[in-house]
Amino acid sequence: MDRASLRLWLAGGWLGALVMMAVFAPLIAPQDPLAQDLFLERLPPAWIDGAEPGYLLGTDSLGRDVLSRVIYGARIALIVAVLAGGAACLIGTTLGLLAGYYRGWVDTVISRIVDIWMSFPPVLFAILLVAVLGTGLHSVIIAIAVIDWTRFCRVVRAETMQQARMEYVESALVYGRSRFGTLVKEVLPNVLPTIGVLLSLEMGIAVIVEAILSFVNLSIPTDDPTWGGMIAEGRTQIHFAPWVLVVPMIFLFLTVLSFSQFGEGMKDRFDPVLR
Amino acid sequence: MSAFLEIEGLTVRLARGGPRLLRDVSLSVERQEVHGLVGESGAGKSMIGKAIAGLLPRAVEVTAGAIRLDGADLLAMRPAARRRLIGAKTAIIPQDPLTALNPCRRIGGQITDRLIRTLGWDAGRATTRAREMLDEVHIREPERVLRAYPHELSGGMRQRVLIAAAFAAEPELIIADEPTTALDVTVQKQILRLIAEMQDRHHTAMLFVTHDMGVVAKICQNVSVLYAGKVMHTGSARALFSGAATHPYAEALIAATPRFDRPEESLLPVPAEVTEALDAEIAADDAAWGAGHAA
Amino acid sequence: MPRSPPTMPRGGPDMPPDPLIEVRGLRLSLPDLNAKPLFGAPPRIEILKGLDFAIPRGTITGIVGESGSGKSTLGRCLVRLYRPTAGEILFDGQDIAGLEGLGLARLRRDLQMIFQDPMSSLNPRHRIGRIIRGPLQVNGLTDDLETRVSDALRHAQLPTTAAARYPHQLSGGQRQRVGIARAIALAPRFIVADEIVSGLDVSTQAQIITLLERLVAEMGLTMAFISHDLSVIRRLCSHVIVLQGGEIVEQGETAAIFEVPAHPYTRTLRDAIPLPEIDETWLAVSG
Repeated sequence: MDRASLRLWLAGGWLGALVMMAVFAPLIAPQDPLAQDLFLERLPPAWIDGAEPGYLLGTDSLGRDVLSRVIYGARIALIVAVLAGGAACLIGTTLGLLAGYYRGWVDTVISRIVDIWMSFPPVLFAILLVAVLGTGLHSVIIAIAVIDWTRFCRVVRAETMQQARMEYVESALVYGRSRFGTLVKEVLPNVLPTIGVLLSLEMGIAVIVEAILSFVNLSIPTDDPTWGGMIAEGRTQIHFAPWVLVVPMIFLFLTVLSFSQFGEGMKDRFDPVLR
Repeated sequence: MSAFLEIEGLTVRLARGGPRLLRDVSLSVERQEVHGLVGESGAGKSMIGKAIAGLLPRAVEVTAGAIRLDGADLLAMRPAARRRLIGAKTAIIPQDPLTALNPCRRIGGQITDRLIRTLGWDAGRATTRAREMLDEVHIREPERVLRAYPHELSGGMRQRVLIAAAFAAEPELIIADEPTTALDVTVQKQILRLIAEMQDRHHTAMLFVTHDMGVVAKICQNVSVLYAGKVMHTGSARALFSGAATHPYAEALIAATPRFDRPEESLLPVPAEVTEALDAEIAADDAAWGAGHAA
Repeated sequence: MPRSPPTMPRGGPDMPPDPLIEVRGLRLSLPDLNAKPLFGAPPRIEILKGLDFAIPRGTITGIVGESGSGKSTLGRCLVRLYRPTAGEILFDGQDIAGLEGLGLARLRRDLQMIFQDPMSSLNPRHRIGRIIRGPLQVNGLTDDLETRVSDALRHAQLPTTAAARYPHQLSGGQRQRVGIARAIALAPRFIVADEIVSGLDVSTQAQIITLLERLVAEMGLTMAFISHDLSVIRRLCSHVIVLQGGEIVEQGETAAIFEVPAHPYTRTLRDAIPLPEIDETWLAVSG
């Protein structure tokens, strides 16, 4: 196996495992992620003295099982990645295609909006949005989509402009395809690989943003486990129980890395031009 | 005295046991000679120029042969010494005058750079030289052009600038890689004339890479014809174009070249027997080479 | 002096009585986006400055000029990729210069174009089969679709197996044949070929030229062959139009124009071509 497919398999493998964890969390998780037991607080992971069987990665300050909590946390992370990433992609790609292909006033309007949008500091913007929409998963998803569509819009616009200059576009117009039909049938397939890579990056970013919002306690209000929430809690315990902080951070890191590597790997593997 | 540039048995292949891209190429360029290197796309003509300049891509490797520049074997030298020697004795006139010039830098600096770096001249002397060179390539306002950015010049002007830059350091060998292919015919004629004039004045040896038999006829004294990385024919241009016995492929290339004065006798497709014979020769060659290199 | 005065009467000595294409007073100007002022409309550059010519039925007419002559723009006007600013383009007697919408859509089948660079004109992410099916489907020719595709490939002398490939998997010559196959798949009446052999090796060039000659004869096509190469035009085209700076400097039958170019620019263009023969005076002669 060459390095490129190894990368694809490792990244895909981790993401696949994450999906399984999220879907089958009640079956996989060894403990109830919400069950508190103050007699079991701050148990270390299995390989350190003083560990208890059944608590593989230890417990937090309220005695909740860290492994079960990161497994349940994958649910929120993936929901946010798919929905927020997908929504940002849909909005940004549509506007980017229109701006880059039709140019003129359409481009002027869309590009101005993007410029204005991008001059807001993104994290502050997100906090503001969640504050207005109220905390909760739906607000987090909406906030990420509303902020991050510009990322797609700018890149897709540039790529579309470049593709629109190609003669295959003129050729399609000469044989009678409509302008819009040419955009969808000819230009879009050539922008798609770029969109795929962007989407995978954005999914990783969405996971991070969700973690940040959880960290500042603006994500979901219940004590449902999220990686960001766990990191926030772990921060206060760093000297007594570092694993409470480190385990969700590793999950976060691997997930974000896997998303970006997966996107690149898929492009290398399935783009007909690169094969 | 031996030829200024001597390539002997140069064999280049794709790295890690890939196919050969140059097959036992031998050719020599005398001092003051313009030697044409002609072939169709993929024949390896640019690869030879790159091998001389030490610019072969990482994906290929030289498996055999020697490239002697003024007697010194480039392939046997250490990279730093080789770069110094190449920098001092050779220059390149590239195909695409737009990408060969840095769009963010003024023309003047791009000409003087080499003089300052390679020859150790001071900036004043180098600028004077650059101005003289622009004058030599018949650029009317050298002062203005020295301060201009590449996009402010026409394609023909940019190619003149590159010719001036190539000759500025008085190299002994110039590799011209399809220097007129991107130009209009009328500009091409002016540039060919300029290259011939400069070559004559500076007594430079020149390896002229082109796909155009017409250009070869006008500017080269000797010609090597390449097919699939193998030199099929080397000889004088005079013999080649007078129809004296040369090589069927060389003759077929000439017959395929369009000419307005004989529309019906030009643009003739290369006969299948000719390409079949060539491909058979290459295959036999590869078999023999493969047998010798079976690991 | 130009061989033809700008207002050539219909059916003049050099012109056939019933041309397929007749162009009168064709002008095109485009906004100069490089010189766009802060407010208001950018200035317009005139690219085609009032052209009059005709393309006889069943012939290949050459359009020759250097970069900036407007030859590619002219080609794009003829297939109505661009809408001329002024003038008439009569296609079989009907003025198509201002057509829009349905009228233009109906015309698409009859007017096709082959482009210079197949790497750019063939969608890199579509297989050849899909590239050739495109025009057929858009124009409702979906009965016997696969037969039509393989016919087009065969006419362009490509193996039917090429349909399953992507453009980058073919050689340069094969790619240009795909461009030809796509254009002839619709059985158009008029094709504009824009510098279609200039990126090819001479041996491939010769094959494509031979193919074009055959297709025009067999399918009764009319073609405008845009090129910078007078030698290719001399071989392929019965008529030629010489463009310089958006104006026609000379037009007429190719043989006549080559033997005695009336305009100095035509002579300069002709004499700049390096013929494959030894001629020590060539570089010396000014021009």
